[in-house]
Amino acid sequence: MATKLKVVHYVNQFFAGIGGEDKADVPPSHRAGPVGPGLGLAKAFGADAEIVGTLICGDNWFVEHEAQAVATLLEMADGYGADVLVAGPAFSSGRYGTACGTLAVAWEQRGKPAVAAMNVNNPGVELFRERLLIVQTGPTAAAMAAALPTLAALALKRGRKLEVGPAADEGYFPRGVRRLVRLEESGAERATEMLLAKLAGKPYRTEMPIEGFGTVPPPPPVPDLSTALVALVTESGLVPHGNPDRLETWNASKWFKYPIAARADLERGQYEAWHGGCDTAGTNDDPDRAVPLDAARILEKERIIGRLYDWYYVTTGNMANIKTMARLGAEIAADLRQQGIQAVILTAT
Amino acid sequence: MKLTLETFTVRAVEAGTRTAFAGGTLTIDREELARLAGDGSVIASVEVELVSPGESTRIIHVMDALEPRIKVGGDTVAFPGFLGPARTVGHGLTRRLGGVAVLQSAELPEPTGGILEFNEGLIDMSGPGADRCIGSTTHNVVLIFTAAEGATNRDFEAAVRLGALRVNRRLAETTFEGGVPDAVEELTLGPADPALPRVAYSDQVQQQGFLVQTYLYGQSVDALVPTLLHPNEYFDGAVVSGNYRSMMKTPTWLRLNHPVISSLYRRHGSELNFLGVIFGRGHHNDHQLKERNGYMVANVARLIGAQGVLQTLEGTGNTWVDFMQAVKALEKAGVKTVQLVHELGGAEGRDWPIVDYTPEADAIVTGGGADRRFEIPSVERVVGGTHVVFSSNEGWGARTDAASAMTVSAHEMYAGFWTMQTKGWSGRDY
Repeated sequence: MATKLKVVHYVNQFFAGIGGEDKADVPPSHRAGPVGPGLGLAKAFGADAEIVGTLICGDNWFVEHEAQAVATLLEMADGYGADVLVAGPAFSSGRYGTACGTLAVAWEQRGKPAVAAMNVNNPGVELFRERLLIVQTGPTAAAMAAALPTLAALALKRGRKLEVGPAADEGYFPRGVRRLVRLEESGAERATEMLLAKLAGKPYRTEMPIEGFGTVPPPPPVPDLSTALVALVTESGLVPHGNPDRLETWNASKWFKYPIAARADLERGQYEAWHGGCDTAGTNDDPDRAVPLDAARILEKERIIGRLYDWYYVTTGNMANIKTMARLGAEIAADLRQQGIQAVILTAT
Repeated sequence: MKLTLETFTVRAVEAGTRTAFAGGTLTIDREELARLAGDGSVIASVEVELVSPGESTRIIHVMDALEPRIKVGGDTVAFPGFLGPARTVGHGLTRRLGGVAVLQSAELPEPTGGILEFNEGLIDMSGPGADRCIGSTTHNVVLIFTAAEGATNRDFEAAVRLGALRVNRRLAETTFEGGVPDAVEELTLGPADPALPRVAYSDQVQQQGFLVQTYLYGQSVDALVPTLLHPNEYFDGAVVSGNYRSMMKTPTWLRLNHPVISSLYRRHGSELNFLGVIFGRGHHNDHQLKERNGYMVANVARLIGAQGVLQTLEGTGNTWVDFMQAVKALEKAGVKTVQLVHELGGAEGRDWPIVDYTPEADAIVTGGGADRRFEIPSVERVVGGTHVVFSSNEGWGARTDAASAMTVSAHEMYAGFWTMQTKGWSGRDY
């Protein structure tokens, strides 16, 4: 039989029974054995684990003295010789959640496992989910009874160095990584069964929960285009012939800017499209169709735009990593701002 | 529409002096098949190689994969539009050789570029690669085509396809020499209990241009709007692949042995009422066409009274937009949907798994991350050539000894994306 795991539990001043907001500035302390929600947690552990000590700190004190709080609490924890740290549940309380996450990550950096618990609205989730196992809870302490068995089960797995299953099965927030699994049934059979469940109004669980890509609000109009500095930006992969900087044809990780100051248009043979997601023959025949320098020069001459910026920006938009693309977009935008560019003609494939 | 499908199961293939099928063994007269596959014009030569599951063998330069099928009696042919008139198939009697595939292996004579090109996709007959490709579980008759001097890609591609189809028919003809089928299926969508849910399958195929396209009754589906097919039409080869983006393609073999159609068919009359297949293309050229297509898919579904639609897509990238537009239009029309898809997400699984998404897509089944890498060992035998060049995101990669051990992903495997969806791979958030 496995030995009984030793658990140390972190709670804030409220759950330790010291007091509410008025006691949020109490400094770190500790007590032997379980306190407050630790009693329920101990019940959920049963004979498998023992809460050997409880660490306590006021939410404000923790946030205002973060480094000191972490050092003091870890030192207190050392006295208990625990295998696992459990922090929370913090539900929707932002400062408590942040404290749980900060302490748990510091604990893990010392080579021992930790598990926290929060509600999706707790800012601690986004701060720590990629580095820490955080059990999903309801918004308030009313969800305590539902959260504790999940929290206990995960703490046991971590303490015993057992494999932790998928987020949806174990009840924690996905850490931003998707792994391969091998199932008995083919995708076709699973899809048919999911469709039958959906049609029958029975529960079903998507294998790919998507939280959405977010939206980009359109910027306000340019006040006076006839005085604006305008840049050409493209995801068409149009680069100088020979692709000197090795821009990728798909899954791009780079962007470049190339000079156009001395040019009236982009001549055939001097540029080529380095893009694996569309037929590039037309672009190679007339590179201005991807980066419309010829047309922009006319706008410039006719004073419809103030001036064309002396470089064009390029990356490849094809089978791309969306997080990387967001980074490339932000980097290009930062450069545009630094150059004082007020408007962009963005050409896509 | 009723189709009787007789299966003659091939348990071994061997070379011999006369092409014949007896006692589970398919004997191949290589010279006869090579002659039949050639055209005396754009094809300079054809070699025939035999490969079986479990061998330490890697097959390279594979274009399409077929399964021998032939009609018995009636006025239609299997693979209509290519081997005979484009009359509606899916009824009457069809014989198939199960457990065997006819593979075309070839290198195109002219250079290609951009998206309209051939991508290498390996078939490993054993080891970890065998689990990520189509063609590893069948006895394979591999036709290795060499183009004649001066042949164009267009002429050569058409000649290879027809040559392989002629060989495919010849092999199926061996069932005419007697013997009894190992299995007989009566395939019909008879009346079902009106209380059962009415379900359709929406098959969004890849169509981008020459070398990356799909044929329906012998014609590219470039100008096709979503139409309705009886699933039996698939079993007679109404849909043929001309898509050589090997990792993401749905080979003709897989359309003849379609896992989604099989799953829905098997439950017809007991758990659901299978109404048919909404067949259409993806990769439309602009957003308006993508939205238009989505609404047309939904319109067909609504008109046939579908309550639920199981959707799949072939290809990746911009075709996801077509796919998600169809999800949106279907759900808006009150039709419940489930999607069976591949996912990407990078070698570590830390990126977004798909490139377009609509909140209505709340029931997705996935074959897991096609970008995850794995090792395949060196092999004793390579069929179809000696070297491979994989497309990398910086153009074409290094010329690699095809027999060597490699680190690959489903991107380097033949029909890797669809294989993961059909073999039980999936992805989970961790």
